[in-house]
Amino acid sequence: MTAFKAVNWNTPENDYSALFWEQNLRQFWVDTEYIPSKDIDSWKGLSPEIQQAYKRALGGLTLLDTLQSHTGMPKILDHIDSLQNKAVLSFMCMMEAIHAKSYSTIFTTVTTTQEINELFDWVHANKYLQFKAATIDRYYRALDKKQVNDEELFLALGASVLLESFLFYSGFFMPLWLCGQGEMVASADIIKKIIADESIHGVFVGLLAQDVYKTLPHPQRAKDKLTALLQELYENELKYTEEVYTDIGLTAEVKEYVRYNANKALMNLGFEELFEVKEVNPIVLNGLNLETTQHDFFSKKSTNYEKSMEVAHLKDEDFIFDLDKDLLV
Amino acid sequence: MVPLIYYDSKTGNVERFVHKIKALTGWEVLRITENIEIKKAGHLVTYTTRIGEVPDSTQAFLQRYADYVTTVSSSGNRNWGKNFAKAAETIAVNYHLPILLQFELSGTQPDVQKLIHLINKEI
Repeated sequence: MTAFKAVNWNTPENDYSALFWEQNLRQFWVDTEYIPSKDIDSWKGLSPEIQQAYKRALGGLTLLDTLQSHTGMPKILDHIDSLQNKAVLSFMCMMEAIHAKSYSTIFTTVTTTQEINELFDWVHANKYLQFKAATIDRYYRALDKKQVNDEELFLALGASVLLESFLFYSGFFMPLWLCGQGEMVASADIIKKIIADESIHGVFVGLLAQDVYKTLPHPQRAKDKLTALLQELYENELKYTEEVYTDIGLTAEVKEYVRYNANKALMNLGFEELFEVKEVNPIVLNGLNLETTQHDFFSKKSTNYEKSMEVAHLKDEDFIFDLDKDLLV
Repeated sequence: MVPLIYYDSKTGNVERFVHKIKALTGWEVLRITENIEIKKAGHLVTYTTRIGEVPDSTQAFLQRYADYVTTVSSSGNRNWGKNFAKAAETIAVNYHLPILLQFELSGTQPDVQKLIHLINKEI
């Protein structure tokens, strides 16, 4: 009988598990700490076309985060040997569920149940979104067995990085672009927390992929397969972008942003960039750079998580007051 | 004098970046380790960690060898907004060093060309 192993954090299994565990904890957040209701006026001032693109962008993101939390992370962690790495992946899995829910937090705040239901119907019927999910899911489902070969594992990890670091960005563009102009900034706080999380997920899963890649008997074959997958998904992203953004005239900018992020996904996998990128939309970069203070006053947590570093321990003596000195006379 | 680069890397991004420079120029690149001993001046390339912070290993290196460091560059990710590649900014302030380049992840080809150009200008 195989002995079941317990995770021992006293001995590092590699030089990055603990680092990523800590980074995940440092970034931890929940949707209810944020107050998108501050955006209600902003929402009402947006044109119906922009509202529609915004809803569709976030609807598509919901689908990807759902796939990632329900299938991607669980399938992958089942085939990763290091118990500490599994722990990091399970934390990330939970965050994906929080991400998926947080878009609903925004929808519930700014729109109606009827509109939300119509949006989810649109997500379920949109062929480009469905293609995106089905294509990635196929690589995850290849891990639906007890033993997988290293190439299957590499491709599933690679597909996950493509989802995290590339496929999300046709959606993220919209809230960042609005935020860069001072619109929907409270909701953008949530979006930026998601982006920060997806960024470290891409790095971590990318490192796992690179580790497996080094052991492959035919690395070039695996790399070619992954590049072909990226191309296939890229073609689909272009069509998806046209469908969501043509009405508001942003298609060219979004496509450039998609290429820029495809390059970053490849870098997370240890490969060279594929696309020539001229300029990332400055309004989007401004959206990322905007320091925000839109948070629940009582939990006092913004885009930066702050931990109290200077703690003075209270002692009984602290409560003995020298009345002569302290009395304000 | 042939330029020399001291670099720090955790996820391999900076390592890949400086090796692209080495492949094009033949410049010497030296990874920062705990027991590194240096005697020559060089350019520092590091990464940004946690939330906009300088890596501990880079801090330790600077405490011993800041006098040998002529410029600083750092990798990062624009997804972090104002914290993008902030390690270079913090080091520049603390050690009065000029920043040559802040780039994303393992750097694009234009980033590689840019740093080579900027280092050449320093000579």
